[in-house]
Amino acid sequence: MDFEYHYTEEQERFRAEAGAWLDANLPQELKDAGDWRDLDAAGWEQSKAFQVKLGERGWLAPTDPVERGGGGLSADSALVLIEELGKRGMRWALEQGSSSLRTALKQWGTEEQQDRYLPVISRGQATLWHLLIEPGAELDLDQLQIQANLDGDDYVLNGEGVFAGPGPRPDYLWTLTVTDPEAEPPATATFLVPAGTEGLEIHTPDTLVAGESHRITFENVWLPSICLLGGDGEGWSVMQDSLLGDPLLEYPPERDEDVANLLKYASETTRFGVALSKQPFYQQMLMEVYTNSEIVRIFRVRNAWMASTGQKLTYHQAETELLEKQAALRLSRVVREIMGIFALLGAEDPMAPIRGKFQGHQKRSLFRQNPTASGGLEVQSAAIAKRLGFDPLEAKGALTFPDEEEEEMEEEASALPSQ
Amino acid sequence: MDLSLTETQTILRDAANNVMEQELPKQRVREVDESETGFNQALWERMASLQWLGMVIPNEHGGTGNDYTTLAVLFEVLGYHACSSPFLDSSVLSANIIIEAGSDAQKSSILPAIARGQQILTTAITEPEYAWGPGAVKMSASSSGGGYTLNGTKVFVPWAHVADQLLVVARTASGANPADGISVFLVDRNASGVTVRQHSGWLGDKVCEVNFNNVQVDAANVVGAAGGAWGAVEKSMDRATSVLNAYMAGGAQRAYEMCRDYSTERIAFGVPIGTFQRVQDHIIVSLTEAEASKWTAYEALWRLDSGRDDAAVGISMAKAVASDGFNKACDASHNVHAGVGVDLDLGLTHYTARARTFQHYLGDATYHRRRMAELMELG
Repeated sequence: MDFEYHYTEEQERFRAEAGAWLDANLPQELKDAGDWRDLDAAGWEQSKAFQVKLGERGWLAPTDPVERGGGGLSADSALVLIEELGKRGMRWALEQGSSSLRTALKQWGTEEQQDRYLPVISRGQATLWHLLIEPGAELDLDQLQIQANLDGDDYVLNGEGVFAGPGPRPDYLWTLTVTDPEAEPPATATFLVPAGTEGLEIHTPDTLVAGESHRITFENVWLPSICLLGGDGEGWSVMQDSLLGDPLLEYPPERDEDVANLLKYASETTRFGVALSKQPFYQQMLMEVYTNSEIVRIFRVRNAWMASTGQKLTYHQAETELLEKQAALRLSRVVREIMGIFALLGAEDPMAPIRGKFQGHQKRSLFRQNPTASGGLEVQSAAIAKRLGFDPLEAKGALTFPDEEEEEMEEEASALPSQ
Repeated sequence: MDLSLTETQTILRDAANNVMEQELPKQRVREVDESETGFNQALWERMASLQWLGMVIPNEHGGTGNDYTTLAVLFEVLGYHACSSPFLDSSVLSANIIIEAGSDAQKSSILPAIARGQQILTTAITEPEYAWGPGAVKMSASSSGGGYTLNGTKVFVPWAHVADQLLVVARTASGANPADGISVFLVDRNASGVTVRQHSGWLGDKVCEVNFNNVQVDAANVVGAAGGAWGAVEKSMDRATSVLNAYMAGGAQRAYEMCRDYSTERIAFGVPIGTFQRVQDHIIVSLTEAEASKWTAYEALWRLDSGRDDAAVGISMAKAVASDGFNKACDASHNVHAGVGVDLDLGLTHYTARARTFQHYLGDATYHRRRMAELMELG
């Protein structure tokens, strides 16, 4: 076995080229920003401009053909590019949902749709928000409240949903809709909706982590059929096929920056004259969260290896995401234990550890726990169970079925003395 | 990056599975566990004939000189089938101490016999203040008449009741660094002053208390430099731990498969219990713990076999994961099986007993997390 990636000379040459370009073009303010969520408005504009520059080189879609706005790079070169972006804290520039939409477009889109949308997305000219819906989970019509009705050649969308994506405003929305709730199974369709379309209204609630999610209402939003991605009735399949993402894009997995920051803090901070990292109680917790992050990293290596060797990933990505979420939640608690109240200080406070990064981490951990907004642990578990061959809709954990409850109540009622 | 097994490893895995299915079906595990020796002599001889017992012993000493990943592939199968034997303690831990620190005479006389299964060695490390670091080695060996005299007690020594010889880790000097002053002595189990008592209880492998009462050891039976043997012991413990991790991962995998299969067969309220999400949650815990144990084990083995500086961190991390994970996988499997899980004929308790025992052997999760922090030089 070999858990390490071995680079070719050609890759090392490309690394030098990519690294030099990134150093020359990445604004100082964005280096090690960590996440678009940590950027203010000016920072966001800088990141957009930088993304456009990346897009001009085709590096937002590094392996796509040049004529579709991609970089035409080999997978080996793309891997090096991802690493070099990661070294500069900018790996997130390649994510933000656009890679999964490109996957969906390539798999389900018509030639016309691919010609129209792929270059725009790949050149960083479109900010994309997507309907929050977990990959692998069962389609739950109670949660899917956007309906699309065919009217002539167009579709009319009504309803509302919770969307997520970077930045203060999107250019496109990628959404799942129900087109026939009475069908068995219910018919669904996905649409790529220009955000300026009449009838759309975006409500961004005041939340702990600004801009994590947005409630968007659709009121008689008319869309031409070119906005329909995949066929009417194939929406759920489109979403499922694309939302889990490409495991190869997650390789090489990075070490967890939050854990690295916490280890550094604990090594450099003393309490009662002893470094926190040397105090047995804290030391155990530190190693626990380090181990959790390493398990996730090793699982990502496994997933990438399976994908690269043509093995079918079934429960593996959902399993990795489940462990990643569990690890993040545990880390959140350990941070509070080790940093104490200092963990809650923001970047503007001079006493904030690690430039206040853990304040944001504490807030985001709450978001991660919210199954509606980002897919809770239960949703990941359901996805694993489904892929293991268990059907989670057969029963939902209730050990007493409604009919039996009713019978028991009737029996109890008949046993009562009449008034 | 290539996580696939080599052709040799695949053949070994499949052959080992066949042997285990023939020699150690589920009902035989209980018989072996309840026997006086705790292992199957016929299977032991077959292991020797298949050259398994010398896999990491160099060719020049009668072994086949395989790497640790290949040995771990075999141990994963042994763990899956709940196979108990002195394999790990004799052919891996003890053999490694001889390889690392032994004299040429010791190597040539002992290693081939271990590889052939004709001699069983075990290593006595832990004492009544049960711990695994060098600071826990308190038993003294005093110099006398050109040799040494051993006095003290070792506890939870695996397979001491069937071992031919013991490698006794004892202190010949004390100093500021607890790793200094530790020596290893080769002691015949039947030597005068040695008494062996099997610990009784719910234990996965047979373990013993060994008392040393004025046991005389010739200077020729000191393994390595007197007072300077801890390095060899620690290195050998790392290698044995790396293989034990794979054994535990194999056991955890079986515990997972048992609950997965049971959940499709057991009907409640007219449906298989696997359709209940609360049952599925237990199955998923069992799966994720088994897989975390497996992949951290193999990543650490890769570090070990490729000579990386961070191998020890990886091995300790994998042991911490397996110590917790094997137990959690079994606990979750019990949750799925409910009452029937403790039926001794079902077989799940074979794994649970091993999870509980091996959680501690060669260091528990707490010990290994502390060791990781030290190796990573935190603070």
